Amino acid sequence: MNRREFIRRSVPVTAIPFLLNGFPIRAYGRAPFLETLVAAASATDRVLVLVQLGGGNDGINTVIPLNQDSAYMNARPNIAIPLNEVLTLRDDVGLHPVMTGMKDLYDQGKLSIVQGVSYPNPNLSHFRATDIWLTGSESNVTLSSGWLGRHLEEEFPEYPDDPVMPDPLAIQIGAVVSFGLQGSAQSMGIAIQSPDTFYQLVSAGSSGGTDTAPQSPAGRELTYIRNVSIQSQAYAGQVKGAADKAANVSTLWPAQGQNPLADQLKIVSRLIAGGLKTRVFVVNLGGFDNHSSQVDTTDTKIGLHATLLGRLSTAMMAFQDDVRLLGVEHRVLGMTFSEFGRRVQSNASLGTDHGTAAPIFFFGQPVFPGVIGSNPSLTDLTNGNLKMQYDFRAVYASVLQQWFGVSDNDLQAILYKDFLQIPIIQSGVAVNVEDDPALPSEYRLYANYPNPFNPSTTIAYELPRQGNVSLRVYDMMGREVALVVDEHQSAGRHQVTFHADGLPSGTYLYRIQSNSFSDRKKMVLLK
Amino acid sequence: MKRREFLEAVVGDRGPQSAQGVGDSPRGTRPLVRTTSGIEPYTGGWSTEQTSHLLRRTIFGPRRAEILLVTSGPLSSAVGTLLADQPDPEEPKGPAGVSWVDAVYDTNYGQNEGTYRNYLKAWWLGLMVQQGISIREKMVLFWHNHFANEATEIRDARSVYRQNALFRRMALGNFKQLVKEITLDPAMLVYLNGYLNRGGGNNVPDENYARELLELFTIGKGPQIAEGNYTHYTETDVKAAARVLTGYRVTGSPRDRNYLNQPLGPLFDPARHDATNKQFSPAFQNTVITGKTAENGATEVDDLLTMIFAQPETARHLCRKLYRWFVYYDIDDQVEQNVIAPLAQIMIDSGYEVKPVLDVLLKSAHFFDENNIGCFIKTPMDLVAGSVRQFPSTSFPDLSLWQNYALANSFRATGANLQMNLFDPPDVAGWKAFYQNPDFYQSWINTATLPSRGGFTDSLVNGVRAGTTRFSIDVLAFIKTLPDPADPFKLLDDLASEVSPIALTPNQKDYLMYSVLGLTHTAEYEWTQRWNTYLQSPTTQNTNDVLPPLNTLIKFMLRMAEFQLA
Repeated sequence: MNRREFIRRSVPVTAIPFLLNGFPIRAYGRAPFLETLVAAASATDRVLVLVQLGGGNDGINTVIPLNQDSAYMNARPNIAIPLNEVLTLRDDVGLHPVMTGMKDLYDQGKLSIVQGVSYPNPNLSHFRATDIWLTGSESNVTLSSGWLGRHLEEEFPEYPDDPVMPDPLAIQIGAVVSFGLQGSAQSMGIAIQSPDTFYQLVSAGSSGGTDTAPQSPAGRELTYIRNVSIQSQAYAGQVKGAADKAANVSTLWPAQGQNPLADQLKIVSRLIAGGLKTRVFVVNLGGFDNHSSQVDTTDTKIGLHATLLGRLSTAMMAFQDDVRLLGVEHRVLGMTFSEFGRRVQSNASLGTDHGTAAPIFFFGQPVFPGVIGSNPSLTDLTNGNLKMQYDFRAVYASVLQQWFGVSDNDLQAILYKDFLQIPIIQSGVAVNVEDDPALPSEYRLYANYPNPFNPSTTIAYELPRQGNVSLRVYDMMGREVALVVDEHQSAGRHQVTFHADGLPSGTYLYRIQSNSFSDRKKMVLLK
Repeated sequence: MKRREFLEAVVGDRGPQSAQGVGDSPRGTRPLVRTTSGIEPYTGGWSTEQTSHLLRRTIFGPRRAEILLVTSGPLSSAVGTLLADQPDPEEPKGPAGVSWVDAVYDTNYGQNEGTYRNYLKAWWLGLMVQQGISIREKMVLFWHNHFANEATEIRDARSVYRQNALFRRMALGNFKQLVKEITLDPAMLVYLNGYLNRGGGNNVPDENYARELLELFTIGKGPQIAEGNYTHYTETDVKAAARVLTGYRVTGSPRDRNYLNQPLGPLFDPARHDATNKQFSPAFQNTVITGKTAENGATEVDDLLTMIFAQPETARHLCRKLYRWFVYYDIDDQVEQNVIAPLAQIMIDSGYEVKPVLDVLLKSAHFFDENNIGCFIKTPMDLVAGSVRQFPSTSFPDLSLWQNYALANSFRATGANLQMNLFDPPDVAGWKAFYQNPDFYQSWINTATLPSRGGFTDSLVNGVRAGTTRFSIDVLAFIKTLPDPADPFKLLDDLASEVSPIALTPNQKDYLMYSVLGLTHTAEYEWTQRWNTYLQSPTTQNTNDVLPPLNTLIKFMLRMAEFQLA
């Protein structure tokens, strides 16, 4: 259940119109329950920092497979990284030698890698592939809104007039708002280059006409521009206020102007620590389209790609250190992505051409650390390109549900399809509903996580009333294989861990029953 | 009105669309009033409404005198003037007037290259401002956006200039010939690795240029209908085209040091060319381009272009780009049928000449349709070069001259801050405003750039200082060009048509009159007295009675959303 649904189901019916009309809650006098709710919402807000690596990052020279020595050297004789210099994460997986900061994060349990992320029928155009990633579409379907835009719109349908969200829902550091933040009718994000100049320029602003624009193409553009003007004015003070409240404290930040990604993440860290309730921040590092000179002619460990990976690693390390010192580490999750990986075989110009699947990094204290998935095979290829292991939308679904607590129904509305989730977030961090102070308003069985799992997984559910509860697991033949819960339980949120020791790999059903309610879901044991 | 209601008034929900296609209507299910007019000649009224529209779309910041001049003649003369050949401009110079465009690449040039590149950028902005009633610089910018190269990647001002000169020479020329020349253009050979594309033996070709040639420069990408199949071409075709294009090097460039001492240019090296046959997909009728050996290998590029330009989709792709450059981004089925298809046919019939297409488009009923007026969001260059050009200023230096570099460079930097960095577009696809569905033009405007646009126009009224030059709009001189500035109602009407392509509402005009200009209701003609007193005796005190409120008024109007439209 998301917060909006929670409010709608929990407050007296007569209050709803006033909420929908967008009046501030405090204008309604003393309403302790609503005030608690607002406080809880801000206290539990989680932040996603999305790092876009523009141009198509070469995943194979980033997360380097250590189990296919000859295939790697054969495919990339002129750009292969000497395997004895790779930063080993575990026996078969290592990082590019320049990524020492991210190696440290991995060792601290603050980095995870999802291998082989792509989608069926990959598109090798930068522009179309970027759109596919940002919108979360099938490769042959064009969507005109972004995956995060749809999520934010689900949760804050009144944006930008949402009474409990005075801050921008999403901020792009830079001058162009990511397409990923596009909602159905408007962008759910705003762009700022620096909090201070943003405030100065906006506060000198004026509001233009107040009449509705004509129903014409010119009217459409006019309305759009006026809306941006209003948004800028509404948010300038909030952003400035947050920026003024906090300063960067880590000593690991590189000097200003040396590392563009670090400069952007510095602003993000400051705004989060300053109390801005913004849910999503988007930052960019471009230049990964290394068709040529990806590596230096004399030393494959240096060159264009190494410089970029070095920046990524340094910036990520400094950011993580900063949010830790600023005391907000527990509510910040980072994620990288790029529109595609690169061809397995290098070309004659010391570079790589456009490819397909590539790894994604998650960083932050809440991550479920480790390497998810196996090394891509460098020999079992499709048209010279790596095969997919995980659909990027499965990654999105995992972030949306495990980090933002999006319900199954909303997930369907955002991604248009069901995807098997992968464990992104440590269990125990869980979804936001457990932070809600009031009792659930209806029965609900959540998707287990992680899923697929081995050997155990967590199943959560909510009970609006006390009662006898049973939770049973069945195999696909309908045979009961485990009785996980069988007792009288109080109303509220519960979760149990299911251990599948002794069961074979396969799909299982789990079914809950309490009072007149029952529901079931699938899970996959993958040994 | 609430912010959200603003939007919902004009934009419907957008769900998934069935399939990708360049002809898709970008926004939602709710139909917007568009037009069914086509390329038939426009025969309607001919007043400043139409002439302002024509000039706003084809030159940067049309001046009042130019609009009146064009209004005094017929449409055919106006378009004839816009499309007429122009003499070459003077070449860009470096500091102290040093000539560098034909320099040999030596230490001295290498050390100064970055400086020359900045002078080059400022020079081009200067040409946009200096340009008379001619479409040329708009077309140079069109080609720069179409064959988007980044100078910071190329790092050679000479070759970047040479590419820009190519666009200017071919601004209204033959598209196929231009593609041939750009394929062998030194800057392009460097930017998309053509000079590294090596075939034969075990060499793996570099596909960079071949892919963009098909995807962006010529036939364009269609919906993906199967793995590796983009309707108009396939991954097989990218690989085959890359092999056709193997063997080129670049001379006179530090990128290819073997040939550094020769003049800047392309060189075909048969030893690097893949001389085997190249099989294309059914998208190109299973064409086989016969591999050729020795110097004959260089003619394979002609075979490749002949094959690509035999596809009508190539003409349609370019006509859509021209449409989005000059008319509007929304290409619905009607526009595709009534405008794009017939324009493409004209292009094909003329052997891919551009001028006949623009001649028909700019005289068409569709171009002058009410619904196509005012719907273009100014690019940063329309705003920056256009605003500098449009209004009378205290001094009017020729910004294309090296002596005025500091000022021109400050305007260039403003354009870059507003996300249009001349010679350095974001990537090879050019600026998103011309291809990114559904945002298109709206991608210029966001919470970062809109306040900065306002900051820029404020600065034009307050005065910009760069080096020893000071520049500002001469507000009083500008007001004096209006027909009847003593009448406050006419003053606002005339100003409105100067800054907005669509009519302001009575409420807006009231706000301008009473809240911004500060006149008193029912005592508006007090302004007449003040203005006339100033005209008769422009003392400091009398000037102070009119100038501060006019400055505020102009700043306010240039910050109105309407001023961002063209």
